Amino acid sequence: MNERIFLRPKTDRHHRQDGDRPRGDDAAEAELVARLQALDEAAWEEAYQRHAGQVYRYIYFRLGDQHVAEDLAADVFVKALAGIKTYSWRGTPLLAWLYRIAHNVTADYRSSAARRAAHSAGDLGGDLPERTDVLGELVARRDMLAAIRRLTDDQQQVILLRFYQGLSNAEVAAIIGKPEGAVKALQSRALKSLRRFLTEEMVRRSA
Amino acid sequence: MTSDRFDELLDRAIDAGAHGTADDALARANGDRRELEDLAELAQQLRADAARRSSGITPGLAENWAIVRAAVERAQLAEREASAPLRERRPATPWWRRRVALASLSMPAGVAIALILAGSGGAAAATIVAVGPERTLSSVTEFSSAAVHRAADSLGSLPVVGGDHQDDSSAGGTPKPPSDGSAPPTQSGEDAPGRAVAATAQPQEDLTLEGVVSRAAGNTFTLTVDTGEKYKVNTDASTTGDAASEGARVRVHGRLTGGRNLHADDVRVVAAPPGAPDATETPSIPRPPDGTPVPTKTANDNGSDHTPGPPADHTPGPPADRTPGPPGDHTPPGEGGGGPPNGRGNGNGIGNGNGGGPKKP
Repeated sequence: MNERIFLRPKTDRHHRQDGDRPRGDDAAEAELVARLQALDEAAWEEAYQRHAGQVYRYIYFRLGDQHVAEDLAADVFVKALAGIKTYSWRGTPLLAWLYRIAHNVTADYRSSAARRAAHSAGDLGGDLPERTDVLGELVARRDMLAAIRRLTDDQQQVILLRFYQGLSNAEVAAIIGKPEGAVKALQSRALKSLRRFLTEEMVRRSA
Repeated sequence: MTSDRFDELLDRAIDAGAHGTADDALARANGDRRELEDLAELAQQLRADAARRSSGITPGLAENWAIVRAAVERAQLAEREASAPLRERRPATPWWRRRVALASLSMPAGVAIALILAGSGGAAAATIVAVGPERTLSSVTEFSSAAVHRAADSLGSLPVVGGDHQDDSSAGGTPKPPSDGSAPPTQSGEDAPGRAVAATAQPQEDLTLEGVVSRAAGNTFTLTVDTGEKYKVNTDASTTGDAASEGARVRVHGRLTGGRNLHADDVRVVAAPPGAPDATETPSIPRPPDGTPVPTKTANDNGSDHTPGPPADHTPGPPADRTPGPPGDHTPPGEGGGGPPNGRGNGNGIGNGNGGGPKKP
């Protein structure tokens, strides 16, 4: 399992599927990065307000613990602060970089056996409502998250980034450090596995 | 159909499904159309599932901004210190001069004494063999006198370091004020409240914090100090003191291991959780009127001789002043207010090197 990713951006703005993003956004992003590198507190607050929710969602979907996800999301920004001086903006959204840090933070957290014991998987689904009709609803949210967490690390990333964060194949490729073709293959295999897991769960509950 | 083609068609079907045109994309699929439809439908359900979930900032996440803000402030402080003019950060008497002074005094003296002892003994033995016992006493006296005179000459030629010996005495005592009129280096945070600035930049610093326990789970809990800053406290078998229960007010002594992670050496319950009987009679820590947290420099702070200091007293120090001190108030490690760098951190509490940090894209 690829627990840690080391990657270079494999995409540029010409290949980005959200190519309709105006250049003004790029300029604003570059300016924000410059302010972040200057340790401007207002810039960090702006980045936190803008991206912390998405980073939190990404971590929450992977770990299933709200409090841990909140703490790790903040940790992502602290680590971003430590590395912002060496970060160079090349057209890839800042959020993609934050996702990469979030991936590493999540992998570190998972690899810690002590923490895994402290925060057992009993919190899956958190405050989500109980499902009432198992057979009538293929993707009860609770089951869906549990099924996603059964995927391989790469497959989880692709599913969460593609469908829960709404990123394009090119952006996902930049984040996980694989070509777009590999992202499509991972997406295909992940969906097949998810369908199998959900079907198994339905059969188990109906038995 | 090849695997690549299937993946490509599925991807198109997924994108088309988002725009309601999946049928067009699936028209090119022949035998796999049914499976493609199923998987594309599952993808749409994943999107729908995501849409049901709030993407806003949770209250806990909003609270955690304080952690990030504190890290930004520490980074700003570290950068200001790093960019301060070198002359301001250099002490009046560099540490190495004191080391040289001590070494230059002790080494020749030790050599001289060794020469005297060894030379005298050897000469005595040789004399006894060569000239007999009757003349031994006078020969030994002559040889020893000569050796003593040589040693005395050697000692007399030693350089006088620093112009006087008060400087040397300051290695274990009170340091002299710098000649440029800047604040003198002090031995501990207690002596100079403003030293908290330098203390903040020390790597893996010892801290004593007091706050309220929350999210207690296993060996970790979150400590919220009065300013709202949160610390993640880790305990282990070596941690002494009381068990931290949810809602209790505790005083934690430990080390920052990166970010706001604190490894607790000692945990003391100051006040029991609301509703529980207060079994502790520990007096509360006197706190500054503004409620500033009280990071405390401990044993490693004293002296410039880099020898271990007295045991940490675990008492709260002066309030941490995050504003930069006056010029000349920055004391590098090894001089006065700072202990030797231990290489366990970068001094600003961020980037703890656990491998989870960002990689340069």
